[in-house]
Amino acid sequence: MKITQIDSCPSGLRYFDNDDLESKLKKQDVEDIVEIFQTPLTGSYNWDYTTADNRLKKLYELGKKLNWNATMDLDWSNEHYSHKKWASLPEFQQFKGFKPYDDLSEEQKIECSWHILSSGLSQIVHGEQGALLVASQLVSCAPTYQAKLYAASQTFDEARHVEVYNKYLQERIGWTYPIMPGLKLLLDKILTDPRWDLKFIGMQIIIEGLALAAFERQRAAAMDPLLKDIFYLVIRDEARHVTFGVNYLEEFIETLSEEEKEERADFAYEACVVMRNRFGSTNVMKHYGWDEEAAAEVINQSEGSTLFNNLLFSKIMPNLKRIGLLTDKVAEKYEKMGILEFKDLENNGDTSWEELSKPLDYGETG
Amino acid sequence: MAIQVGKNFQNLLTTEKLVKKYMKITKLDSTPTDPREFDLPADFKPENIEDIVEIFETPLTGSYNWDYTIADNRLKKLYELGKKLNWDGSIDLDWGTHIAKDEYPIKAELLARMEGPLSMLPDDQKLEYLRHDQAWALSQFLHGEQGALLVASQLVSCAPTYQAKLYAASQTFDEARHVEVFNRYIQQVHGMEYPINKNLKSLLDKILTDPRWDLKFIGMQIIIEGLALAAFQTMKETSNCPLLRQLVHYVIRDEARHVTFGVNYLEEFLQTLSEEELEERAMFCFEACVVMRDRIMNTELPAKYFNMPEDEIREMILNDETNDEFRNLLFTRILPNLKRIGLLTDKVKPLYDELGLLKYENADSDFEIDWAELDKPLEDKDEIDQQAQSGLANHF
Repeated sequence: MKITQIDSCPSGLRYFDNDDLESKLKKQDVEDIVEIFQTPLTGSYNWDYTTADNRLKKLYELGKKLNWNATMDLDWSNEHYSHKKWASLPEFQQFKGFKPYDDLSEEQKIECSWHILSSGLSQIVHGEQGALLVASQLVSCAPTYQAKLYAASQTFDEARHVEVYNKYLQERIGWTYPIMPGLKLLLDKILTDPRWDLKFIGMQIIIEGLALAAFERQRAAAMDPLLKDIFYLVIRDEARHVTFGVNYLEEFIETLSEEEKEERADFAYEACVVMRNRFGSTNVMKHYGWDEEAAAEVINQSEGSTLFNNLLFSKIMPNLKRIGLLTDKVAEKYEKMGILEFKDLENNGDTSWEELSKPLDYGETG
Repeated sequence: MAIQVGKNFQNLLTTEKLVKKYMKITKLDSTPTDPREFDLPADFKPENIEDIVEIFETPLTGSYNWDYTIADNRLKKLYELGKKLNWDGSIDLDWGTHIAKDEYPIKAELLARMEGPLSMLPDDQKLEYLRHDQAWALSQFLHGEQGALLVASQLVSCAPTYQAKLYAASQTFDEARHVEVFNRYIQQVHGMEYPINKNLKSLLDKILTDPRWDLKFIGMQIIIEGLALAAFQTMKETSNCPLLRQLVHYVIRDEARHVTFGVNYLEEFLQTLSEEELEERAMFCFEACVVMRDRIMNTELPAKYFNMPEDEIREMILNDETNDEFRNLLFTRILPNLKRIGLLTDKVKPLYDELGLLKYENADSDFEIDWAELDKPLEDKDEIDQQAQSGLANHF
């Protein structure tokens, strides 16, 4: 077992040579690249196995029932799509209007669209790994019996997400990008903080909420039917996760003191700031050798991009309000970010059980 | 033969626990000790229910893994099987087929062969005794599965490789489903639950709070799961309840994957440890085996029914040679696996020999994977009942 420990996460683009995969994966050649974190974990045994919260029980039951399997339920045959076609809708390309991009040939622009997709999906894989680690910690930390069982089903969901996105990146794209500093910072904070509810807020409300909004957009823009199906399946799971977070936290946060509440509200706000530019593809700019500042300026000036960035928070704000973390102090700051208006949107917390319980529909490839 | 509990476990019995109050949650300083009866289901309203939790602290050393390529095909296959054979207790178990309250929980041929003081009890007391006895055993399974759930979830953080993390996540979900079905069975069929045996608890405490991830791994995947596999097998063969046989069988299918994972993953890892570290692990395993063999037994129930002090009951159980044989059988799976991963060192071998366990070292280990066996579709009830019956016949 060759394990390489590193002090910080890798920063270079990584290619997978599909034709040579077999020889590459021989045991002696493969090293695992791990980065260590330390966390004091306060866990609990729960000695009361009666079920108090029927909503959690229902979510757990749904988690078992809708447990899709990427290997069996999706069609991975290679006929459906190729790198010669756009990775996502041409009008969706974020560098449009940036001269070096506009100067590219159609063929090169198509190639660039795969880099943007790879960059985005790579962040998603890393984020899902973070979600996997946090969900697994919640099994220990969550105090109630049903919440522990639920967290276990979520842990498995997250593993299947890491698996499916990773498989898509390696088999259908062929290269990955490293994790971006903002996302890494947030994961570090969540994974090492000793307060379980903070892990919970960071993961179930902020990261999952953001992911849910981003996946919906990406699903609409994706051109490969397989990828559309992947997003669909993952979204079905994430909707359960967010519902769980909102329902569970709502009750818990009421028991905190004003001061503790403000601490959590501040944390949530800072996490939103950190995540705001999560999907800006600076690593793609780097890859093309473009002037990052100039490219970022063009992107930021386009109204579409601001709107897109803000829309990412459309799921988070109503949920923060619902669980009581949109205090007067932070509301002002959200106002400045231009995302406070989302607080009164339809609330994920008002669970649509009908929506959550629908059978899975493999519409694109199934 | 009374053996002292080793240093790994002594101080744990007195560990101070943190207590804090939130939600409607009652925190305990120690584990509950009284059996618990359920008044079904009118009292199950949320407002009536408090959660009883006990806190543990553990410094967790976790890792991100930034290499998503898969190095170990065996783990990948085990993970794939975990997804495929993911049975759902609410759908796949036939909850209408359990024994009634006035039926014996063990098969008639076992009742007929029964000897000793138990066989002399009047029928109604015998029934009561056997039902309590099984409720006690199932309760230990339930608590053990909660421990397994907590440990498996910690392994997601601690396991260094990508595929091991994914695998541990699937195991975490397996353990949750086991907690779920044992709990439902206990509540629905027996209507009473016993608290965790304090020695099983000290073993779980040790595993959950030790900072060394491989020790958690060894304790859970090799010792506890190995023993559980043997105990579940016995329960499946002797149970008079079709539902319980099916339930335990499905749990066994999962556990077989877990043990296979443990043996294959640990063998490679342990080779990287120093002699001294290896001896530490070997000694830990031995001590854990002693706890499991001599300390986890139900002495309260016989004490109550046969009017004897618990100490005497314990001595009687430990000195009974036929019983020795039965208890030792529980280790047929553990010893070969310990040997395989290199934890049957020269230092601990004589200790196992004294316990009469060393003779199992050359039994089949779980290292050679029988993929066909692991990959079989889940059996239906008739097949399970047949297996159980022929398994039982082998013992006579």
